[in-house]
Amino acid sequence: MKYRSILYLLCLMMALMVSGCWNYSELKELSISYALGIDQLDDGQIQLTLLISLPMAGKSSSQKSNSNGGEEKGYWVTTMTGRTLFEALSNGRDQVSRKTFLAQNKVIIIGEEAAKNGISPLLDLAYRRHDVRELNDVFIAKGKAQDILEAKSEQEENLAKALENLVEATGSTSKATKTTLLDVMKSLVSKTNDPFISGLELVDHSAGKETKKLVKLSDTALFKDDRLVGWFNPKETRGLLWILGEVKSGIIVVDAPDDESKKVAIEIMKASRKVKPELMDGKPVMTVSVEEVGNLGEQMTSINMATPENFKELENRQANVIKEEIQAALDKAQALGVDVFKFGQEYHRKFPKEFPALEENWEEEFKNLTVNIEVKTKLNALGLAAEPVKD
Amino acid sequence: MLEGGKITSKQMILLLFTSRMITWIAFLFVIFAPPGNQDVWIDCLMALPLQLLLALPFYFLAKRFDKQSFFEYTTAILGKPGKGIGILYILFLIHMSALSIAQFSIFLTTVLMDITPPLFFKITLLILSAFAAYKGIESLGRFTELVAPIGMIVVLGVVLALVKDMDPKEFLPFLESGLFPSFFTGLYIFSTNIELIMMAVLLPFLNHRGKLNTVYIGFPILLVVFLFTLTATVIALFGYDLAKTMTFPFYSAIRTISLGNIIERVESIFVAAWLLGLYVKMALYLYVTVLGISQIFRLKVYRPLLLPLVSLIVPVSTLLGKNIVEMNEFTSFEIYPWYALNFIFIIPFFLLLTAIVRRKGEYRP
Repeated sequence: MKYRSILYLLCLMMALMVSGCWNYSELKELSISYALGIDQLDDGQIQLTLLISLPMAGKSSSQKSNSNGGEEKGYWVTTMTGRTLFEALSNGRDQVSRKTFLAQNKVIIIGEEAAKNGISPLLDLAYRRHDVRELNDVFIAKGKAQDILEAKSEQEENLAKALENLVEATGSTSKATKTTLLDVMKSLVSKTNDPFISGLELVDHSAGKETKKLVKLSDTALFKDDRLVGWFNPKETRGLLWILGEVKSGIIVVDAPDDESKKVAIEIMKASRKVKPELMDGKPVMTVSVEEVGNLGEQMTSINMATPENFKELENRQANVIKEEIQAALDKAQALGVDVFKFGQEYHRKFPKEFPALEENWEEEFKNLTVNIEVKTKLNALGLAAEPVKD
Repeated sequence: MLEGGKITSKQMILLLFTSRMITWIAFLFVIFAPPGNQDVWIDCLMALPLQLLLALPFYFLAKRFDKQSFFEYTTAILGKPGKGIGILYILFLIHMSALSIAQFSIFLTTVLMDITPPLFFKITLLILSAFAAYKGIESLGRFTELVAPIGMIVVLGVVLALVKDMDPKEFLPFLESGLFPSFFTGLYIFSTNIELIMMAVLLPFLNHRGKLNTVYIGFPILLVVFLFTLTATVIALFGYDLAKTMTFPFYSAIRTISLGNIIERVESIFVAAWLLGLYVKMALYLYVTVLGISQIFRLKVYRPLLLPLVSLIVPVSTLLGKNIVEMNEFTSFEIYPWYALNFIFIIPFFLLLTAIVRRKGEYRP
C-alpha cells in the first residue's frame, strides 16, 4: 500500500515535469515574421529585412481608420545587419523587443546585388533552420529587397500575403514562375540544372495626385550555378514553362488571318510536353514536342473565324507563337549557358553510360545543343458567339 | 522462472518491427550508403533475401533450444565460457541502447525543441520505458499491438499525402552502377537489424512454438516493405541529390506536406507517434538487457536491475552522443557493419557450429 502511494506520487510529479517545457513560446512574446528580405551591403555585410506582423496594431487601425485615414499598418518592416544572416538576426534582437518567429514566414526575397554574388550561402540558414519551411516562396528583387518589402500592398493587409496570392495566380497567365525554397535547393544541388527564380520589381503607380510604389511580379531570374546572370522576360518565361511542361493556362495572341493588324486571342486550355534526348554521333540532340489545346477567346476582326479554314490557320499561327516563345527562351539560355530546362537531367536519365563524358563539359554541350521544337495545337471551342457581330 | 508471460507471434513481429523502424524513420541511413545514387531503393529490397539467409544461425539455434533463450543456450553450448559471450552481448546491448537514446535526443532537440536539455528527454523517457519493462513481456506485447498500427497509419498517411508531389522519373536511370553496391548496402541494412538478438531472447515466450517460422519470415518482410516505402518516398519527392544533403530525410519530407493549404505542418503529430514507438523500443531494449543479465547470472528476479541499468545508460549515451557528426560517422556504412555483424552473424554462426559438433541441443524440424 505504502509502495503504491509513493508510485502515484511519482506519477503526479512527472506530470508536473512534462507540463513545463523549455521551448514554450507565448504569442505575446513573439515577433511573427511574414517575409524575409536579404541584401548585401557594399562592405560585404548582410542586411536582413523582416516584415513583422503587429496583430494589435492591425486591430486598432480598423477602428481608427475613420478618424485617422487608415494610416496605421498591421505590420512593421525592420532591418538588421551582420556578417552572416544568423548574426544579423541576433543583432536584430537589440531593436526587436520580441523573439523572432520564422515558422510563419511565407516569402524570402533576395536583392539583386546579393544574388549576383551567389544565393546558396544566403539560403543555407533557411534550409538548415527547423522553423523555416521548405515551401517558402523565393523571389529575386530587381534592386534591393528592402525597398520591395517597404512598399505597401493596396489590396492585402501585408505584402507577404499579396505576393503569395500573386504567385498562386501565375498559373492563369503562365508568364511568371512559382519557385519555392525546395525547388531552388533541388536545382542548386544538381550538377547540370541551373536554378531560376521569379523576379519582383517596383513600378510607379499614379493614384490621383500622389505616385505610389507598387510591387509587381516581373521577369524570371536566371542563375549560373548560384549566381544571377540574366533575366527572362515574360515571353521567354512562358517558353521556359512550355519546355518544363508547367503551362497551365494563359492567353496566346496571334494576328488575324485576314488582317495582320488585328489580333485574335486564344486561351490555353490544356498543354503537355515531351522531351526526348538523343545522341547523334555522340552529339546531343534534343527534341521538345509540345501539344496544346486552346479555345478561341476573343477576336478583334470582323470576319467569321468559325470556318474550318480559319480554324486551321489559327492553329498554325498559334503553333508559331508557341515555337517563337520556346525559341526565344532557348536562345537566351544557350547564350548564357544556363540549363534551366533540366536537359542535363534528361540526358542523365536516358543515357547513364554516356552521361559522365557529357557532364564534364555540360555547359559547352548545352550551348551547342541542337533543339528541335515540334508544336501541335488544336482549337476546340469558340465561346457563345458563333459569329462576330458587325454592321 | 524469470518471466512467465507469453506473447503471440503477431505481437512479437510488431514489437521487433516497431523497435527497428523507429530509428530508420528518423535516421534514414540507407540514403547515404552505396551506390550513392537513385538506386538506393534496390538496397532495401536486397536486404530481404540477405536477412533471411544470414539470420539462419539464430533460426537453427532456436530450433535446437526451443525452451531456452539466447543467453541460456550460450552457456549450454559452451559451458562456462558461454557466460563470457553472454556478457559481451550485454555490453553490446547497453551500447546500442545508449546509442539509440542519444540519437533520439539529438533528433528531438534538432527538429522540435532546441533549447530543452537532452538529458531531460533521456531521463524521462528511460524511466517510463523502465516501467514498461518492469511490467514484463506480456504487457509490452499488448501495448505494441496498440501502438504499432498508429505508427504505421501515420507513416502511410504521410506517404499518401505526398504522392501528388512525387516524380517517378527521379528513379531513372535504373541500375546506373550495377547490383554489387546494392548487395553491400543490403548487408549494411541487415547489420543494423540488431533486433535479431532480441528475437533470439524472446522466442521462448512465443505462445505457439510452431509460429517460429511466421516470426522469422514475417518480421523481415514487414521491415523491408516499410524501409522501401520510406526510401522511395524520399527519393521520389526530393530527388537523390537533395535527399543526400538532409540530416533527417523522411522528417524533411513530412515538413513539405501541403494539402490544399489546409493540411500543413503535420510534423508534430508525426513526432508524437514517433515518440510512442521509441518508448516501445527503449522498453524492449531495457527488458532484453536485464533479462539477459539475470539469465547469465541465474538470478531469481530481473526487475531490481532496471533502474541501475537506466542510470548506466544515461551517462554512456551522453558520452557517445557528443555530437551528431561523430554519431553519424559511427553508424555509417563504413564502420557500423564491421561492428554489428560480429554480434548478429559471426558469433551466432560459430555458436551453431559448436552446437552441431558438440551435439548440444536436439534438432526438431
